[in-house]
Amino acid sequence: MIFKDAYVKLDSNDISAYVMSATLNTESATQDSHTMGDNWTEVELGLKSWTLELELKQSFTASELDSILWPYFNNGSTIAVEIRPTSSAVGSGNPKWTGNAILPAYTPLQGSVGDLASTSITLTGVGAVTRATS
Amino acid sequence: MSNTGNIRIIREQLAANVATIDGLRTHQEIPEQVATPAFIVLGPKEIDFDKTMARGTDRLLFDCLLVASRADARQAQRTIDAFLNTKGAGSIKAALQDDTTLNGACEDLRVTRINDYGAIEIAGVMYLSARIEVEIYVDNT
Amino acid sequence: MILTHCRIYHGAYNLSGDLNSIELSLEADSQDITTFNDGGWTKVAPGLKTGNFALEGYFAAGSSSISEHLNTEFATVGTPLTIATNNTDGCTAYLTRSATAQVQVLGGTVGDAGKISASGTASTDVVRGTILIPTSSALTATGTGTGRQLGALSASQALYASLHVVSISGTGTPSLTVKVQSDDNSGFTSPTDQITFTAATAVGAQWGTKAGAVTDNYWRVSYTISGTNPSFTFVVAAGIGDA
Repeated sequence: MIFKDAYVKLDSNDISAYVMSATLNTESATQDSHTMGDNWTEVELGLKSWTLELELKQSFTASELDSILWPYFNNGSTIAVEIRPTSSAVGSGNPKWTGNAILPAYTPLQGSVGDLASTSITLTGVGAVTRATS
Repeated sequence: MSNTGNIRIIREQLAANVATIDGLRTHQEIPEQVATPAFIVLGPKEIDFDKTMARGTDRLLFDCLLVASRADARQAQRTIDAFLNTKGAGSIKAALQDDTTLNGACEDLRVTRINDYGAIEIAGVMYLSARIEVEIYVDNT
Repeated sequence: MILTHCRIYHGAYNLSGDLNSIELSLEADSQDITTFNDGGWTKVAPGLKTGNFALEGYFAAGSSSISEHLNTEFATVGTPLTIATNNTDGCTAYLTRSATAQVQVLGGTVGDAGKISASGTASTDVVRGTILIPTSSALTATGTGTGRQLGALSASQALYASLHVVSISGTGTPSLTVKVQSDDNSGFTSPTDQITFTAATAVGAQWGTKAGAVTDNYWRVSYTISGTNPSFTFVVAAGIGDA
């Protein structure tokens, strides 16, 4: 599958058309659980966490990307996040991942003269991310 | 904000931006014959599709040509040089970037470089020319 | 948007013509608030926010140069800093006051263009705002800027404004007095002065605030210019932030 039509929604804002790259990470903390007598390390999995990294084409036009992201950062709002591999309907071939997140860091302006204005954000999960096929 | 993304309209508007320069003929396409001095939109030499998801943004690289008669070699250089000034009334850079949205045809543009300053043959006739590269972003949303 | 027309005003200086790279980054300290009830998933909440800036450009010395300016600003706190995305009336701008902690005064390899850079932290809130007066042309007579519907202020909000006067000319002690006014209508039929900056008779920068609540949601700049053949180039940005 060529990744060209990912669907990313923050609350009611479909920001897909700003997305240059998207990476959804999920991770479990590992806790050592080996004891005397073990010849191999043993681990158990602890707390889970997730992040969504987005590289975005920036826009300062009214109602466009910067005006969407700024209040998420400034107000510390909890954001309802949805991401799918394509914008097609959710299905077994096009699952969706949903969860709540916050935006703890935002770089509204970065770059050199002549660059396309862009910004990279990492949404940090608050609670679970859930995979669904319907 | 959606743009037309129409190559023909982009050609028209690039020529229209430059038409503000006195004494410079403009052509939105390569003409059969060239009356000099002339600005010619050669066309998109490169189109990068899908700079963002959902067909949001494409990047186009347009090549344009400045052409002057070589009948008098020194005058040809002076003619071309005047249009290559980095600012001022006759500046190609300034004229092309006077409306960086090309009247809505694109999201933004930048004249990135001038190169290939030298002789060129068009329809069997030698001219002095310089190539102008214009980077254009189109918002398809 | 291609980054070609950013404007960076620091104190009395328009640094835009010296800089070729800009970064404004904002961060909230993430606090872990995970409990046993959270189903095995972590929960975080945003804490205190911090703003950082980094500027890079080309070295130039002499009177009123970037080198002179950053030399003065090094280890200085409280200078108004306004970063605008363009030089047009009404464009988005971020405004704050700076604490300039690092200045690389000169750098480069033989044959390179000499470089200069500065970085630091916002010493107060970073506010997302709007340019109400751009520096695109000098002003020579009393007038008002375009009104913008920035919104009303709740009791927990404030309007923040920055004024950068970057050039003055004229005789007879040219003076510029800038006010930020509000009204409940776009026609400004009965404007209220909300912020009045100290009269400027020299280049410089000022920071102003107006605490809410303010029910008016239209804002504009009103400026009074006096002197003989006076000419002022200045920029005003304003935005709503937490009180």
